[in-house]
Amino acid sequence: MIEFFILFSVILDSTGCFLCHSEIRAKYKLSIHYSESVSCSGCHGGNETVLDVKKAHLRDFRGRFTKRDIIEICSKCHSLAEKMAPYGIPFNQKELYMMSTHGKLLFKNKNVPVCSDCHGYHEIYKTQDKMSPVNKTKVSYLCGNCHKTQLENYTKSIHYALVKEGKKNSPTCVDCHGSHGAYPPGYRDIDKICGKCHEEARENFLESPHYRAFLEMGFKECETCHDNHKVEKVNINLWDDKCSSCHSQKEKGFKVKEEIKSLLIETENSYKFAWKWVSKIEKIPLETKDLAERLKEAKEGIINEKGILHTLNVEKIKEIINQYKGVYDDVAHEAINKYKLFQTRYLLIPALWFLIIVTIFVIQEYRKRISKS
Amino acid sequence: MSFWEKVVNFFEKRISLNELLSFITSLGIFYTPICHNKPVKEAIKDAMETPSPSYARWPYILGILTFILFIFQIVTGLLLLFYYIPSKEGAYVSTVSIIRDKPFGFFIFNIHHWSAILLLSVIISRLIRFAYHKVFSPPREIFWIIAYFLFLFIAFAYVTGSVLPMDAEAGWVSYRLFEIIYPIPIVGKLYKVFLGAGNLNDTFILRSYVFHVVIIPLIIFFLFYVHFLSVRKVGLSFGKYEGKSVFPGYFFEILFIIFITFAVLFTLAGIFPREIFAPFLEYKNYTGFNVPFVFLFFDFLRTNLSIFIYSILGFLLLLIPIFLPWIDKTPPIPLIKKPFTFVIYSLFFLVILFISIMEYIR
Repeated sequence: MIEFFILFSVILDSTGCFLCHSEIRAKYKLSIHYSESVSCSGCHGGNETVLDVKKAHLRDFRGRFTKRDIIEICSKCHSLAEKMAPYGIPFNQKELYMMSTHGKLLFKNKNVPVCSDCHGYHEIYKTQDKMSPVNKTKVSYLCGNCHKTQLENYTKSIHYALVKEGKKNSPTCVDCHGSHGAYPPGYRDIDKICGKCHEEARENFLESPHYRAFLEMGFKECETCHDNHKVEKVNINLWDDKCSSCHSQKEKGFKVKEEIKSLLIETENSYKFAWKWVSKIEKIPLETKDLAERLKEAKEGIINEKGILHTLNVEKIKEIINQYKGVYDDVAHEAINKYKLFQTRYLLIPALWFLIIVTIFVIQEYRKRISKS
Repeated sequence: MSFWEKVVNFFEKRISLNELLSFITSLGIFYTPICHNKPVKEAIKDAMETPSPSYARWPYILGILTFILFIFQIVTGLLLLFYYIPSKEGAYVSTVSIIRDKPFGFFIFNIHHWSAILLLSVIISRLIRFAYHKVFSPPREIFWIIAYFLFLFIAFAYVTGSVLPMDAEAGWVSYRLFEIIYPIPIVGKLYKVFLGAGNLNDTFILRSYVFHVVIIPLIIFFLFYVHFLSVRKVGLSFGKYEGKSVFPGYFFEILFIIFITFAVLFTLAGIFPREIFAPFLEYKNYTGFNVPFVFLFFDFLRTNLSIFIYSILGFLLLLIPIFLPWIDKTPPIPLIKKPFTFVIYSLFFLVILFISIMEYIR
């Protein structure tokens, strides 16, 4: 009877290893390697088709691996184009890793991560799987296991907030630093990395007087104003905090900043004013779909165009920002008009009271006549 | 013989018009009995000439106001019924469409809203007045019990109605009400059986809708009817009839009350309309809303007591008033002349009022 169960479980799992190593079974069955038929012996060697413990652990069996071994074992398959190409997985991961800062430190530092430190070993999931530690939503915590300060700063950033909201374009550690070939960028490379997404901002920055000044003074490009890991959502205070740290009040730069800042505040106020009126009439409710859409479009437009601020050209900025401010003002004007039109309904109230008082008076007279008769 | 007399004669020979008239007037219009043996014309004449007390003064107006406000609810509710769609997607869209696009939809919706608030306030005031004037003394126990059940069913109508617009406030309120009502034994289980486990799905809205527009109004009409049957048997609690007949005195007074109530409701609806918020999203955190005012006290108990004590206390608070006529058997004199009972009653009502106000402000 026992033999029957053993045989049955072996047939079910197509390996005899789990008869003893049952604690690994559940983890392994969730992994991508299980569903793609990578067996235990694929990594550990040995013979998994026999039920005898000694025979199973003969041949080239290895139970535990060193860090170096892990790279070799994984790359046995992951460096082969014919095995990786069908899955669309790059097969140069080992080369990239060896060139990366992690790879260079492999023999010098015990804490340096290898494949299994990030991807796991028995329970390896697809990168897109939310259970995977290298999934977009989790990878920053994975890196943060060692790079704690960077993680702390990153979790305060707008990039992190957007990843949490589910925005796929928002960057995590690997989007800027790379994954297998991870390296810290040089200070002249920052504009290129940020420019991958903020293309317009980069182009405008390269045109601006700041670019040359930064080069001469050895400032880090985007990082000087926006920080690196702790990239906060841009707000109006940034102009005061960052500009004032270099420009004194008498300088031309300071005056330019004041002009741009007041323009931005004015625009933001127009937006808030318009939105206040739209949400006010929405609660009545009046038709606001068109107005809300126009506001939303203008707001998105202005966010997309905010790259123009990096030119620091006041005339150019004014021209573009005023287009959107005009939309805000128009929307506010229309919303106020709609509300005023709605308010005319209030005239019905005194009219009704007048009508009712007159009616009561007439009925009262009629009642008196009836009573007399 | 005029045309109308001919019509009346035709029907009188074929159906019992007196009984029909008696039934209709028993739904809350006037309490005077209609004689079943006389011809209908004479029976009406007799009824009209019967002396009737003046309702148009405090606090006797509360009873007739309950009926008038209820009729306003029926009329405006019927108008809303034509365009309302009881489904998760349709509810919000149709509510907005009624208010915004349909002729006088704004006023009809908001009169319905304000009339509900006033109806609930009036029925609560009426209960308090019944308690202070000891209207529940024998043989008028039925008056009190019916008034109390009217209060419960009107509150239930308020609950089911507040869910129907399906905007953020309605969704939030429906979840909170489930939390308040569910722990109370029997009532909570009934609520769950009939309205579901607080999930805002299509069937929940449909069930609330059926309760709000069919079942509860029928029950309320039935309660009015039974109340009038009782009044016709044992007479009104205030016996000082001023010699005015039902017509023209009583009728015109009621007409004036209807006009003024309508004007007040119209004004409230115009100046303080119910705000319509964005559609309800289940996984969003909402703040700044309050539960309906009758539940503020229960909400306070729920948040400050353990769930076990709350369930027992809540159940007793709902149950004990039904048996008040048998608990308080003191002679039927106004409470103001009995300081001890007066203080106890006043403390009870004041504590509830104070806690409700504090909860509302918080």
